[in-house]
Amino acid sequence: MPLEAGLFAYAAMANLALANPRHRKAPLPPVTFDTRGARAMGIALLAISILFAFTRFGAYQGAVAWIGMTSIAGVALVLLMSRWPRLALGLWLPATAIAALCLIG
Amino acid sequence: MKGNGVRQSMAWIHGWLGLIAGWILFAMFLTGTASYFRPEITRWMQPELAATPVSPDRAAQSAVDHLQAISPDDELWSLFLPDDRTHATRIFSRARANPDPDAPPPPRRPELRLDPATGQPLTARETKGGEHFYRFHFQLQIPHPWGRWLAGLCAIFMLGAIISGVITHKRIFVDFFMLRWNKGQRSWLDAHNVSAVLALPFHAMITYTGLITLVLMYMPWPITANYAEPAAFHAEAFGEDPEVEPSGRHVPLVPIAPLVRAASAEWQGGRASRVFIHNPNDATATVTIVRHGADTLNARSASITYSGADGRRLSASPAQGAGLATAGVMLGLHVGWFAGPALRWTYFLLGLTGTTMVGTGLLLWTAKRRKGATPFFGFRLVERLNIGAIACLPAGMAAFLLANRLIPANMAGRADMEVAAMFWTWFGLAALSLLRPARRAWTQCLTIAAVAFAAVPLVNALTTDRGLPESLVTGDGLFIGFDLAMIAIATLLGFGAWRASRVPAVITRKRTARPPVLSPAPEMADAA
Repeated sequence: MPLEAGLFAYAAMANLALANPRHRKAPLPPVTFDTRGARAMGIALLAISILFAFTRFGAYQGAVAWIGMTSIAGVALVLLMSRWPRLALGLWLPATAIAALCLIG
Repeated sequence: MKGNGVRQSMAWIHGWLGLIAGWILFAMFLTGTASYFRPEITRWMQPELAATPVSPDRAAQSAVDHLQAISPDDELWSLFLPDDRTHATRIFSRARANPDPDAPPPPRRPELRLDPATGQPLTARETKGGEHFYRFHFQLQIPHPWGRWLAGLCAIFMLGAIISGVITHKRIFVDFFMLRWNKGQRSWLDAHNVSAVLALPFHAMITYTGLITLVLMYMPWPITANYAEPAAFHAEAFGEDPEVEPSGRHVPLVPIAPLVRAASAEWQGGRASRVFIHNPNDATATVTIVRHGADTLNARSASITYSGADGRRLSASPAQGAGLATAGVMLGLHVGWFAGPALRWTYFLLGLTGTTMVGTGLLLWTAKRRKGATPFFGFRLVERLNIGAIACLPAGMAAFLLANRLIPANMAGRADMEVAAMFWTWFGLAALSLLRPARRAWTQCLTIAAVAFAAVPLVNALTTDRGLPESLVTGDGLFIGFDLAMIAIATLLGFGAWRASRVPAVITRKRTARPPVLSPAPEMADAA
């Protein structure tokens, strides 16, 4: 599936949002790091998504794919967060799991 | 202008640039977004055709066989070969001009569409298809060259608005994920910020590359300063061979399929997409084969030229210099021909995000000024133009698709009637909406647009044998996807109509008095 990069990017964006105290006012999802941990996790997941964007789409399309999918992942996260913040932020774990499963499968 | 700081001046510039070009930019963004599915829209609009995919060499050969039968003595045959997304071979042929200089030039022949497998002409309803949205996106249905100039002007405004917007935005990272509903002006600002910031790389890229695509038209002076003839620049840059006079000695054209295979082998498996045959069946015949853009980011593809008399390889397009390669990649990034399904949908969603950015920006302008008992003239004008662009254009686009199914398939001039249906619906609805109070006009126009999109799958099912149940049974991915997309768009517009119909939350926050805002009427008359 060509969407791992986008799923990892979604998880990364959710963690980066959780690194901001403004988005920690609502009830937090079950698996959540503290702000520093969430920031580290977000950056790590972002790096992973870059890696798979390039391995999946090649050297030239990789950059386009990563920027595009990360943008769309961010828009999806913000839309969900505006209505169901706990669900939206909590989805980072399933998104990571599905992306990892796609890589194995 | 409230202050003299950089941020305030940028906010002022941002507001005016965005407002003046906003309605046209909204239409350019929306139709441009649809154009990422240009071949798919065309295929949907000719439901009679369901050709099976055929290899490029076979399609080229069958097309040449057909042309040999109908017009062997032409000056030029241009073949556009089918690929994964287009299933017909498209042919443009040019007859040889009468040697008598006083004779009228031979009439331009219409495009010919062939079944790639058999080489027989395809008969389908006449339509502009996805090409219509694509052309409108940068020509705006205005006579050449004014449409392109206006589109370029709006793109410059957009670029200025992006740069000034970034400078104005104080809290890019603080508000990165912030979207709050039901807070009036605050909500529109959030939506504008989020749609702009999250997809900022795309917005900047698409605006700049859009300008660069037509840069030779907007800025012809470097070429006129350095070349006596523009054609000389083109020949040097793109390796276009000057037209050779035919020798008059008849030599039958060599079979074309082996040449296409040879070119593909030289490109390590790259596909051929276009074939240009000059002076077929003459001793001077040349066959130029152009590579498919899907293999590379660069939209300016390489080509190889063979002799049409004996099949010798004559030349290949010169290796691109840095400038030309950059221009080609910029064009490629803009049009996204290289994108497979996943990236194409990504591009499409990014385009919708851009459309949202422009639309929310326009709405923000009115949300900021919506107070006081008697709205000033400029406010009412902007609000009406907002309704006309944001709520009525989608209805027009749906009307274009509906007209395709409702106008009889063999009626003469139907392609132009489809286009007329879009503009009559768009501008007609915008004019009718003036009869309603603005809030009701929003609700009603968005409802009409939603109903129109929801009607597309129904009308398709009633007028063709490729409705959703049938396409689900036959696994017709294009038609399933199209129907689902129509339902999704209708849902989105219906949601918009529902939100517009709700009484806005009363905002009790105390506002400070503002200086009067100048009426924007003269500028807007230019933009409208």
